[in-house]
Amino acid sequence: MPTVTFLNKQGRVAVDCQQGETLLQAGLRQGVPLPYGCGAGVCSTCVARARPGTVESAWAEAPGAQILKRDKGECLLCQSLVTDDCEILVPGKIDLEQTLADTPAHCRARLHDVAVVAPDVATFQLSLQGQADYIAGQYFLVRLEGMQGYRPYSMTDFQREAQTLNFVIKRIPNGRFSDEIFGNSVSEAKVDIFGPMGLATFDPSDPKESRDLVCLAGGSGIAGIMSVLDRAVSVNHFESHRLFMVFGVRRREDFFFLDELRRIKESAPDNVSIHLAVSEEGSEATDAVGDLPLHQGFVHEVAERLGDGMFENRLAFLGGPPAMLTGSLALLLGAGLPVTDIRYDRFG
Amino acid sequence: MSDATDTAWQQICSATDIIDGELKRFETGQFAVVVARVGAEFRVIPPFCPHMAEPLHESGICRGGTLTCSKHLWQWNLLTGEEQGPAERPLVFYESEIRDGDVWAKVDQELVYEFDEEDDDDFEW
Repeated sequence: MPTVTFLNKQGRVAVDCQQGETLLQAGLRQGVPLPYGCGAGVCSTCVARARPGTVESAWAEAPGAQILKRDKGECLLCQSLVTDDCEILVPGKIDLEQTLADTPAHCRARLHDVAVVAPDVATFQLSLQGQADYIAGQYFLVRLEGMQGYRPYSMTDFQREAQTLNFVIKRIPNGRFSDEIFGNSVSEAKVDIFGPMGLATFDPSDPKESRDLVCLAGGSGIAGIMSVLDRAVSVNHFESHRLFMVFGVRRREDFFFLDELRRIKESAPDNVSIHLAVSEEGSEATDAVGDLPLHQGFVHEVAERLGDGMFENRLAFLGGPPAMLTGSLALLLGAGLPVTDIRYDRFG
Repeated sequence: MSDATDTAWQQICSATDIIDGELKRFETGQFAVVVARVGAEFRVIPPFCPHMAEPLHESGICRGGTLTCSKHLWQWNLLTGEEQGPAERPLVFYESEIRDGDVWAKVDQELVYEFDEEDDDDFEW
């Protein structure tokens, strides 16, 4: 088994790397506080340097790899595989003397109960060989057995010692995992997963997070936010705190999770404000879907129209496509929220 | 004010091309710059984030005089270039001024960020 040595000016730490395991997974699994965002080749947060020729890329065309200076040995830790011992230079700010308190792990699981819940959205479950604890808002990397590359999926609920994890997936043209799910070729499958991961989390037991919330979600980006809200409802968070939420999709028929959102609203009707938005002009918008008010426009536009005074001192959770995230981030920064109070995963 | 005959200076855009809080990319001929507006002030900067070279006209958000790169949330004071929060490198500016309602900048030499860290020099391959 190869030994990987992560090093910088502050120190060095050596870990084992299992066959087929990425350098990021090997490091995190053994407590090395490596930087990461998506863990799946998109966000470029895990750039490091390797001696040229000592690492292989699992996905050379990964979006996050486009900025790499390969002549300098730059690589994405989340896409790097090794077969021999190697040294990896990581950013100098990382304290390699520190060890992560909670470490993600590999696990085998069974994928089942695929259900199409909107034209381009499905839910599925994973039954674990074992159980997992995670913080609301976290995600797992999931890989169909025999398929190259992991994809990140946020859990849509909150459980302790979970034996079954619940997810949502969006149909992506030519996405292999997505094709398998929506093509009905997979009703049940073996998968490898790694996690939990992610920092866009909510822990209401922390006094610093005893706050009003704002949640802005687009499409399947609502997944992690549903986990945050499930956690909040489980401790009656909204009996003493407010929620302002906008959930947007392209067309009215694209909505899903509406029953779950109604239950969150009903848990504390005076403090919970949930709005729906459709972005496609000419979409058959009416005043409401059920008892949830419906608006025309992109999520951040609707939030801006409705949210005057709703953002101050709140903890914000965002989820959705890049343009929605950028628009929402601009709105919240403009309203004076510090970046430390705005949480989202950079999957796209 | 600079010497108006100094050929190192180029007209980049009209001040009215950019609204308050906006970032726009322009080509100078040899390389690109981004022009940012904060109230009546303009700054001309390299088009890439000092962190990981993200294109700032796409990933940058300018609010209240603070520039935020939405990719990894590095932030700067857009008037001084000073780092805020997690940012580890300052912004650099092209010398610039307003002449008759246009933004001019001294763009005789491209400004680039040194992305390598100090450690890199000591890492012998």
